[in-house]
Amino acid sequence: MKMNFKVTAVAKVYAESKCENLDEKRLVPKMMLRRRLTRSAKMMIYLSDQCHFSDGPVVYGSAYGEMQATADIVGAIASTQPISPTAFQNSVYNTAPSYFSLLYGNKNEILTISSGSDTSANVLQSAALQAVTMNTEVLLVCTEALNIPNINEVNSCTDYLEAGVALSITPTDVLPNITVIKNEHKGFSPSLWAMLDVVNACETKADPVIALEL
Amino acid sequence: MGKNCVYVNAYESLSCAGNTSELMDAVYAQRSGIRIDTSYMPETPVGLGSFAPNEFFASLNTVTQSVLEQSNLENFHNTLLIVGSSVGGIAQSEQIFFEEGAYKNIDPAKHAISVISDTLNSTFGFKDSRSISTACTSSANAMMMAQRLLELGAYENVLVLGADALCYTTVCGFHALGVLSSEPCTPFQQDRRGMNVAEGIAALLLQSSLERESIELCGSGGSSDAFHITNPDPEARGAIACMQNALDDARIDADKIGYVNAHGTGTQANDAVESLAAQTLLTHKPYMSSTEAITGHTLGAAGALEAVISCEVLKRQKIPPQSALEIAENSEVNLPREAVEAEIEYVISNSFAFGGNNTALVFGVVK
Repeated sequence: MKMNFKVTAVAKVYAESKCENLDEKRLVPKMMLRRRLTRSAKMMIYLSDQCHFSDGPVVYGSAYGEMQATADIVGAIASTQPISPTAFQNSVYNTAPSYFSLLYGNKNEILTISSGSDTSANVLQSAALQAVTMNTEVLLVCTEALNIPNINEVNSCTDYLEAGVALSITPTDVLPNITVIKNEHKGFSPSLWAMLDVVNACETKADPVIALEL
Repeated sequence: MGKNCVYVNAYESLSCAGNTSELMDAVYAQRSGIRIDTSYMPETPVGLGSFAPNEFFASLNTVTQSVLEQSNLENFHNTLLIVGSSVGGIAQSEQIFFEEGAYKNIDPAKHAISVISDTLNSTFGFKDSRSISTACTSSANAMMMAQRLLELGAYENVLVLGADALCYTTVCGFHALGVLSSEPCTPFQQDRRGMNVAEGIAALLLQSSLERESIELCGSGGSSDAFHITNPDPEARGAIACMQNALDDARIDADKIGYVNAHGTGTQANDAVESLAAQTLLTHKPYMSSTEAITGHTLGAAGALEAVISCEVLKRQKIPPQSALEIAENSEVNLPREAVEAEIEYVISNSFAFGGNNTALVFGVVK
């Protein structure tokens, strides 16, 4: 089942090692909160600001979740060191959108999708469902933060170890004016590709409308 | 747009209390499946729930096959699979890391949440699949997504599967937060000592077609606390909001609820807040109990496992007792000490997670 959606904003950020200038001090003025944010949370907050979105349902996606927190935990267990409570709190896949909700007091539904290479494709589908169900604007964010020590032992396909992509959509009766074509986005985690397709197609189009499968 | 009704037409589960039939026997007999374990932390005994060490992935297929055999389907080729899991395949990758001290032999695809849907797809060939990971609400959110897709007619069959295995990360992680009990947990007890981490698998086939033994998934609701990254809002605003949203979605008044299958982990924070939410919203004091005293807290599987229990409660018209309860912390909630036979039209099942992620599901007998 396909429905039509106006794309109200798009954004992306990526770097081979670490995304700089995520504007954390302005976006997260409270130092205690800022210090606890994971890299994915920082990317998410930056991207949501780029999309001018702070209140509404969110669908977030990540194929691998909070890699640094996970690595910190298993490293501590392996060396019989105590686990940092903050590392454990930050290890769940919905950490980034949860910090986003904390920052802005957003009490709307948050979903986190983790479907391997299909993650951002499933984020698009799930956000379309949420937007239709609630008849409202929905923020979609997908990030991967893979820049942990020794990641090269398992990473063979991703040049951009930090990358995130975001858009906001709202249901519309207007017919689509963009055809989204599937592309390979060399250097990016395949989990981001489907949303990169949409963002790249919408970047250069005024008032873009797309059709999404639920 | 008119909405389809959504029915739970087949289900199966596996937890430390056994399969669904064994689980319900244990629930009504107040027989906990929790065992005291020192394998994860040799100097710190904790209560854990385990069903078959090292057989988790084989059990995924066994549980799913059981649902297929109960169903009106010949296969799952026209069925969407929605998985809810909080840890995916991390137990395998942490074992490799502990043995080798390196990542090089870890397969990223087997580490991720999607290893569960990959496993099931290779056996059953689902039409499509997606995976949700919102910590301990994962499979409750999978149920909510399934309901919405079926209501709109996007699919006719959706299999929701909640699954999480025990692993060092969760056992030691919850210990680091100081919330693990060294004994079987005692939800809602005044001097409760914490939760029991457990593994679990639960699968439910949701369809838009009515069958002879269908239970209706009448409504679902979500919310975010926006309060703290792990602690729930002590004023229970997020918990109340998701329960109210589920009631609104089901288009029923709060006083129609006959039983609350509580999240009831046994932690100080969860049980106090959940009691307050029930006390505030359900002023007619319906029966409430947590079956996690029997199963432990199965993390991302909890929503689906407790959905199975909710369906069984409606079919049997029999309320589970609050196992292991001596003195309740909150006397304003109705915690039965023994199983109660009662006419129950609707059950609400709660799930709450890290990040203040809240989900409630309302099930009802078919009218």
